[in-house]
Amino acid sequence: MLLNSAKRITTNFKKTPILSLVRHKGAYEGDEKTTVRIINQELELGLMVDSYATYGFRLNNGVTVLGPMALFPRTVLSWQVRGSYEITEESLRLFKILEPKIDLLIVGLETNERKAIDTAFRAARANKLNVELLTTEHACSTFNFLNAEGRSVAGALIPPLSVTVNEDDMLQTQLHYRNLYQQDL
Amino acid sequence: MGALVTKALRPIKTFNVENRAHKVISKEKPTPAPLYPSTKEDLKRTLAAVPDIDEKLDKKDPGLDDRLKSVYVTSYGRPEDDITREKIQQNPNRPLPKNRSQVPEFEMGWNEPEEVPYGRTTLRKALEFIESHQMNPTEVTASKIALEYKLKGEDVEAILKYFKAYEIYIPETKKSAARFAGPTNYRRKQLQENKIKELAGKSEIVDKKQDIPVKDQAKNN
Repeated sequence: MLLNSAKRITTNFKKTPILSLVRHKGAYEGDEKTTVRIINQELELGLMVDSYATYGFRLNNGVTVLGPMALFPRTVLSWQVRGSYEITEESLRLFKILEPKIDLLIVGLETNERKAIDTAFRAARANKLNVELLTTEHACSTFNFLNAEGRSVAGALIPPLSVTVNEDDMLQTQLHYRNLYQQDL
Repeated sequence: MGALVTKALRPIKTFNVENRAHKVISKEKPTPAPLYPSTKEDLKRTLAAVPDIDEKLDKKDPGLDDRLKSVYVTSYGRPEDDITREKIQQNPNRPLPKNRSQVPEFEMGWNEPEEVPYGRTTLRKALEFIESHQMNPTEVTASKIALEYKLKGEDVEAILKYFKAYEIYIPETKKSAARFAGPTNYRRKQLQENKIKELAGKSEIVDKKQDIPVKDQAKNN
């Protein structure tokens, strides 16, 4: 079961010509013609984070990931740290030795405490990495946008300690689970 | 200070202003603004030299017209296209790019290099050894991986310690209870299905009502 799990995720994507990436349309196309593109729904753009929770993340290919993860444009790996206090130089080593070099590493921390940010920054500095240190909430969207633009980014994301939920989130969750598994309670 | 002076002088400035304004407006032909002294001098000089300058400027001058007809533009040397072609022939080892096809989409999201320097690895290879190590950690050890993939031993150890491939859990049936992990339908399908559900709402509301007591019971238990 362990074998090829990460690979299987990568092969989920349909290959389509890159033409769909070209954005030549203006923002406004006249009455009743304006369209909206949701980058998370365009699977050819790569893996993105759909939602986050205290236990993990849901990606845009429908897979729910538990715990901290190392997210690449088409791949996801589990990242074995328990919190931002465990981010060491060693724990970011993979990002350092990758070829081609990644342009930017987005680190999503569960807190925005100065101490946590400092340790993460020092670890990244030791590996000579370009990092963006954000709280996980912001890191997810930053990664999505950069990945949609086709940049070589990587994300190291730790699930947040607490999540503030609004009505829309609750509705989305309800719809998601009811639709998927159609539970008869 | 300036403001005070202005305030004091304003009644004098605006004295009888309406009448004066009407006087100016009611003139049949407005008096033109005076010319600048240097412009006046220029005009005088021109008129002295050419007395019928106004008429001349209005009419078409055939002499000037003919002269304009004999003017034409030409270029010297060889066209740019020939020069480019020659340069290509001069340097056959460094041909200009000819392939204009689209860049293919890469499986990993970026183009993977064929040659990788020692001590570094591609993501594909990293996945490979992480997975094989997880399959049998006793056989595929860090030192073996380091030797095979030309990496530093400490790097491999750090990677194997901190990065793991995921175990995928797939629910057997759609009706099995939702747990944390599990693959789902593709999003587009989901959205379509959602729409249908919203339209056929009534039966769902009933379901909801039934749901609530069950949940409450669970809590009580």
